[in-house]
Amino acid sequence: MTRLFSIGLIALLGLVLNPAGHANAPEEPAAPLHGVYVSGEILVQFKSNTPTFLIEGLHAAIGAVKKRNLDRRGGLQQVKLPNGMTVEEGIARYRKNSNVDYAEPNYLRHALLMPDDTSFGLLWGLNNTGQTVNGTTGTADADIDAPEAWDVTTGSSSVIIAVVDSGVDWNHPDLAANIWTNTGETPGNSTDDDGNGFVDDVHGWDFVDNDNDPTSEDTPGHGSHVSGTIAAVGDNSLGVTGIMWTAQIMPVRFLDASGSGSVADEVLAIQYAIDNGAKIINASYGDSTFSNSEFNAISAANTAGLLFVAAAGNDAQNNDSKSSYPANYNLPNIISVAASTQRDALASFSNFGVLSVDLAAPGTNIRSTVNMPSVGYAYLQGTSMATPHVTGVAGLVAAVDPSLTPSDIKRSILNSVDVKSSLIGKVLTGGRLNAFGAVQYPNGADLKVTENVSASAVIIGNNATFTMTVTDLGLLDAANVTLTDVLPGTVTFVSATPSQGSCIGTTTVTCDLGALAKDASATVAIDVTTTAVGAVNNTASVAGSVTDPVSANDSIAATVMVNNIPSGGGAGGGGGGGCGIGTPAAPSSPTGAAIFLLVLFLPLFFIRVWRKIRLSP
Amino acid sequence: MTRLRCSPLFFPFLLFCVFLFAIVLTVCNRSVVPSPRSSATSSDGLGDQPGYRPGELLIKFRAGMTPERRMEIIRQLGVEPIAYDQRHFLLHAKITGGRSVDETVKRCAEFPDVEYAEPNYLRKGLGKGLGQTP
Repeated sequence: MTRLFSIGLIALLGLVLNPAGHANAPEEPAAPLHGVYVSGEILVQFKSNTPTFLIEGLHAAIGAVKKRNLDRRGGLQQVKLPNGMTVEEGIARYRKNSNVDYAEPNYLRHALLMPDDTSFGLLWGLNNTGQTVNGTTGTADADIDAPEAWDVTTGSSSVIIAVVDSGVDWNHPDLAANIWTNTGETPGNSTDDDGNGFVDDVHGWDFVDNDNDPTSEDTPGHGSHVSGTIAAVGDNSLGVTGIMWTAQIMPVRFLDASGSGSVADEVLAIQYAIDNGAKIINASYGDSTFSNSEFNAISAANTAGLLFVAAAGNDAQNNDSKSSYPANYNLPNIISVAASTQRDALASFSNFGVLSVDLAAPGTNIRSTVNMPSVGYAYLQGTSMATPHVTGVAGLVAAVDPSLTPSDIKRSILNSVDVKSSLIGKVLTGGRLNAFGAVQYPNGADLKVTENVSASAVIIGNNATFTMTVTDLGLLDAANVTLTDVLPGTVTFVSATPSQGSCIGTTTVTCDLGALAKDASATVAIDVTTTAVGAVNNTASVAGSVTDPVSANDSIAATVMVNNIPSGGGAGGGGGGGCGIGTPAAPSSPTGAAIFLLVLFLPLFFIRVWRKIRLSP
Repeated sequence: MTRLRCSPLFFPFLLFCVFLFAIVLTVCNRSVVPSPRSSATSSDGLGDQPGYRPGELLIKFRAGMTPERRMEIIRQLGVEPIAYDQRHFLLHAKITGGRSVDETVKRCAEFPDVEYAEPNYLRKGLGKGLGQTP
């Protein structure tokens, strides 16, 4: 009884001496956590000289128990949370106490999964440590984060990837175990056992020679190289590793020994991939000619649920103004891929296009499998080599969730790129492939926050409005979405208006926006009064309780300039582009402008011509 | 003729209307053609594109036509089938009648049962060894 009384007293002390933790105080929303950690416990660092009775009181108030001290002083403690309390909630409760320096999950640590393939260190695209590869030194982390992704998945033999190319050396020791086998076909019985129209197509089909041996016949083996980047057998103590350690590569040959092939053979190859269970098609080929037949074949692949990953081309041209096919077709299942270098620059030969090329991937100095019995491995370069990096990552994403549609996989890849200044304005996403972000995407709600300010400049004492928009770009619905805005000291809070949920606080505004469906948005408008001259930089961040695979878009800043006197910026304006009186709005595009001028002046021209005709004898 | 000149603005106005109508027609026609992802013009002009297999073309027939009618068109075009995809009504053919690819493709436009015809375009692998231009 005495002990119970003591605990009650200590708990009371913990609460009394900690106003922020009062039961009536607004609950701080639980912030989302990333990574893998021990459930039911957290690590808490108390500030130095915090009396023991206050620490124990806080534990008691929360219902937690100290498991052990992690330093001699007892400032860092491993704490077991009460049953039913999540790690997020526990952290939120402890962080509210002024005696707590920090509270965090008890994260699990382990070595990143590294394969033992002998040439793995040369695969800078998968793991760039700044190593020198074939005479070129790279930049650390200018890679796709493959080891990090391998902690999530190393692939699956249920994912079939069609390499529509020059064929594959399917006996290569670093490829053989990952070559597709048509289980419906009995080898060598000269019968079309599975009735798919192809006799003894055990390992794919050759549409150049129209036989069942799709072995690469070019030198050194374009299709073999592409296949190795996608799925050379991983962790087999041999040569290279594919982005997928395990997969099924379906060799479908339509490029001949010179590396050239016709659309007639290509459309048959694509149809073969569709009919025989491929999930993804790698298309490391192209040219400048538009083909209806090719378009229709890829469209059929889209209908059948196949992703089509295509090389953007090697002409150093802008595909927005000069097309490269098949990469340029406007179909939802196509990903168009540019090539990046060991230093995260766009490769000098690579095509680009902010409208027509989706992302970049490693495409120079790429080591992979080539035809045996020569050396078996070689360096090649081109958007052909960048494309299988994306295909391999698409395969990993498909391995995480086989039910994903091509659009889902595409979204996972495009939304998780590493944005690079060298690629902004060059490709649609402005970034380079990131496998780790992509494989996390299927199980996440990717919250993105953007911010607008009501005016670029205001006069001191006037109000400004910061409007934040939160959108869930992910594949799952978001829950417990919280927007936090720590207001700058040079403004005073006036109001906060969320489109859903509620906001509290005047210096740190915290808005609980609740659930947010996939693709849905919510806004928060925060009005402030400016109190000091100069730039006011307002930063907002967003979090939710569902894993967020992309953290780069979780916070945003906007600036308003506060002046003493009115400036040319248009204080209090809405940021619109004021039209002149009586001037019709002119179209913005060059084509639109031309039509606009024609419509304006052509009647005058016709009238003038007509008058001349009438006046002439 | 004198009656037509009843208003001095009538004829210019008529010309202007025709011009507008032409613009609308052009815009509408564009919307039904498979489009590239950018505003880039597709390189499907036949004369200036050597990137196709000589003497071959692809002919897409419309659904629902009889095999006899199809054979009749093939005969009139002077082509010889190489392969026919029955699911997609796509014929891969060789020209035997002495015409060029360009001429044969244009001739196909005379047959309402032909959805489109095009050269058998070529594609090439987009990777090369180091030191070579990819």
